[in-house]
Amino acid sequence: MSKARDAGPWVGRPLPRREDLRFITGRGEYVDDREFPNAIHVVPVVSPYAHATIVRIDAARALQFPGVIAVLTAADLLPEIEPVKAGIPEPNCNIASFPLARDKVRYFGEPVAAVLANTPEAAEHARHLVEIEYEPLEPVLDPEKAIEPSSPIVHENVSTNLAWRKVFRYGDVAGAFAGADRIVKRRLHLHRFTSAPLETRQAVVSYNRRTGVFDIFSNLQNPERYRARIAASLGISADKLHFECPDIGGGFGVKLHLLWAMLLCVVARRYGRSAKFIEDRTGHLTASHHGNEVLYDAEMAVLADGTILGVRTRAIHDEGAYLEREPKGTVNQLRHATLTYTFRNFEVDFLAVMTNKCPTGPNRAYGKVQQVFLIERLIDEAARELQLDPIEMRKRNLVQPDQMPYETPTGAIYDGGDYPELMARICKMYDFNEFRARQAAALKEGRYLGVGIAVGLEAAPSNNSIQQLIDPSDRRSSDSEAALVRIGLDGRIFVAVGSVPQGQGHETTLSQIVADEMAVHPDQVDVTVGYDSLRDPSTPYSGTHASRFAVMAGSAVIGACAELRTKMKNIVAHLLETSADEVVLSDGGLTLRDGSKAISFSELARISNLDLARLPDNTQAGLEERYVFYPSFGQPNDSFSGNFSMTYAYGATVVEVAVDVQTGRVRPERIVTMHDCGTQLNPLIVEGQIHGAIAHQLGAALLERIEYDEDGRLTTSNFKDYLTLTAADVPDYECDHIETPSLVTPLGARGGGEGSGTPLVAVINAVANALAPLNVVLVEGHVSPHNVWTLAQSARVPTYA
Amino acid sequence: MQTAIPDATKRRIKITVNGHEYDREVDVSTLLVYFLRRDFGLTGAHVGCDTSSCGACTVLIDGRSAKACTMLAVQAAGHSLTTVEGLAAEDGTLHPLQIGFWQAHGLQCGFCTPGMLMSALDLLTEIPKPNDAEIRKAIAGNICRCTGYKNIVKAIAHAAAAMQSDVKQGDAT
Repeated sequence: MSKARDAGPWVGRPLPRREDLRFITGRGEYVDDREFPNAIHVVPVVSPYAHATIVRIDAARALQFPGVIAVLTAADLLPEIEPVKAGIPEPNCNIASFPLARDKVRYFGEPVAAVLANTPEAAEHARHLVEIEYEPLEPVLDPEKAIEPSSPIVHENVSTNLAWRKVFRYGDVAGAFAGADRIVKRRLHLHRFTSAPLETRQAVVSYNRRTGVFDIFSNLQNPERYRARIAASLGISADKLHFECPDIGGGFGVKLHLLWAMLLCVVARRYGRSAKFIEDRTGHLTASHHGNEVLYDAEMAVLADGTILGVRTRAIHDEGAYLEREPKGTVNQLRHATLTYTFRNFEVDFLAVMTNKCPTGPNRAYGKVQQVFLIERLIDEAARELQLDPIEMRKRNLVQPDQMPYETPTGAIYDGGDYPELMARICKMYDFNEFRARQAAALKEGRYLGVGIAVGLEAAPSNNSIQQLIDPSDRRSSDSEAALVRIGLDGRIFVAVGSVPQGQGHETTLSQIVADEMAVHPDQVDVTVGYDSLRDPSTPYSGTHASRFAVMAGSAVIGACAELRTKMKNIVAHLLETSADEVVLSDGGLTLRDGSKAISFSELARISNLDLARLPDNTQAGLEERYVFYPSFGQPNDSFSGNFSMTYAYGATVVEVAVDVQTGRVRPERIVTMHDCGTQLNPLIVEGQIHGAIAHQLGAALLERIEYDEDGRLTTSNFKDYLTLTAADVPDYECDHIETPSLVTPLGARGGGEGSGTPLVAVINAVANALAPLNVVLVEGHVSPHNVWTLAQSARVPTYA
Repeated sequence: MQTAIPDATKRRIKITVNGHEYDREVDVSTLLVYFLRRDFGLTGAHVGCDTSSCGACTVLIDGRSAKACTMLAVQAAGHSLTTVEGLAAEDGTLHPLQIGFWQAHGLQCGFCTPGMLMSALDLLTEIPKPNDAEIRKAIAGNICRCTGYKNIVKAIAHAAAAMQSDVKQGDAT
């Protein structure tokens, strides 16, 4: 093997992942793969109504079923679990969440009781034997009607379905609209969908009566964020919670089952046995959480030449029945409200509305796909009205590279990038002129082809002070992540962080970073597998979400390595009676600058741990450093401006479709994407993230839609009805990238897991383009055959008899 | 002499799993996937849905792929099963499909991977040199939520090519 291949730098190389061997041989370990002998299996009894009063719960028959231990209701949990208040100001924060329904049910599939049994089979049988009598109430399903005075109320204790409302105004919006050549008005609706990780939400909680410690073995993607809340609720010290996460079968924002973790803690403590919850697919699709559903009444002010002056919109977020995490998804849209464009005037009137549907929450590209949908749909519609080329209109409005770092009207500070280059490159990858000719020819034959583009941003990581836009009394800010780096007696490097991998290849990426920082081969670096709070360092913000890993954990590891290098150099300088400046790391050891007097990592670790008399004064024994990285974020100002993310990756997607107006079927013919997430730590892994983000959004555009019937019953509760994208539904994706390092992160990396929020909108713009000859207006962000066929019918396209 | 009344809920079955023969008592209502996971500790086959839609539980039965959540363990009596744990050679040498998935980054969270590998193996048994469309069709019963399928298709194509060149080398010697 050539020396070049064995030497650094390792960051930037497409190394196959070290995680993979266990997965391809069937030796991954997910929650349900570990044996918990004598566990109590917990399954929910769920509501068949969207909205009803609970009259009576009779568990007698269920309790007679062999193997059943107990049936719990909310009343059984109330003494031990504190309801979780919503993160909004008084008094509506009293819209509280609880593991089981209290007094009434507020959505179809809401857990009402929990059956505890010795086997999963007994629990499953017995849950059908719990008799619950309901008094059905009129369901609240349309968020616009929900805020009318005549509407039934979802939460009587706050006497309104409008949980939260706030107008955010940046720049001179009235002036922009007064000075416009044209105002383009559109109603737009982004539907409910969900990332639906293939592994459902799962947890096993064990309680140790001797130590008082709860072992929470789960696929929670952010367990540390829940530590204080769970402990306070259970009335115990936060140190009594031990979190362990094994391999996790996808997260995407959905693995946040705090309420279930709380319920299992109570069961484990009460019965002195492990309590196990394995969600079934139906439970996951009906009662985990769905992505944000938004209804816009939007306007864009433009000049005749395509210059965008401003955007204003009402944005109704249909939050569903509880606010366990919402309305965070509203203000998440403000991270980069004006996207890649220079317009300075933006206004949004957010309404967070309660309905009798499953609660909403984080879902891959949380708040981002919603904002990209708003702006990028409006641009295409404006271009159509102005009879401009949508590509040219976008180009006219882009932030230019010489404006970087660019501060947007909402206070975001873009950390570099070249948006015009992005457009130029994607136009090279996809020949729009060639397409237009084909499109015209096809139309003559009655075939409808379309092409759509969307350009977007993905902000990462989160500045937690964005919560102050919702509740000014919530004084959190910045974000943090911890790393620990240690050199063992054998000279190997141990690395642990607080992030919780769900398939993103953290072990591989961190080994590459540390190999470069410590001048070793990645094979000499051991990265911990999964997450274990007794082993891994963490902060209350730790976890894996919002594309934060590369920036947060990556930077924390770099910080820990820097401190460790300093310590090692100081010790070596003392041993060799020279200055630390003369010592360098090289090839798994330390030498003097002239290459003389090498000392290996293992020898230095031996001295630092065992031969302590040789250490310099005031030096701690051992070669270990813990480092917490946090970006220097500020707070939002009084006009709600702030920089709510550290990095802003950007990208564009072009989708070409063929639309069959007779059947409504939309076939994606080509998918081309271009992105810039700064320095790529591992291009293989980055590409994988891009592919995954494309698939999620293509699925959401073409097939995936959460639907409720007129009574509020979910009609898409399994994979037969909720149609996830399959390999046969899509063509190959063509991906390329630009690599302009971030101006603000130590590695130059940006977040990269969310496809810049563009693929969904590119599909919708493509279909709108294909149907343009029919003069129909596309409101939806979902182009299922039914939606498209209905639209085509409205245009009186002749159908086959 | 008293004869024991057979327990109607149990059945003794003979079954071959990854090349080894077993004689096991099994509850007649147990699904094959749970039998493999609980009785054999073969947890590579996963359960990702309730409707036989996701394919995470796919195994081979007499060389053909089947969703192990869709049949009872007793129905596998007398048959030979191969799970992902039996894909590599006994000495640990990886199957070309495993290498393909690894090299082409054909997996992320890994939850669907065992089922994908087994469906792909069935495909390559039927069609040694599949084209892109044939690969996509063959794994349409296996849902992956991480990769967007692109690299899975690539991985299977790589494996097919590697197996072809192995065959050719085998012919030459």
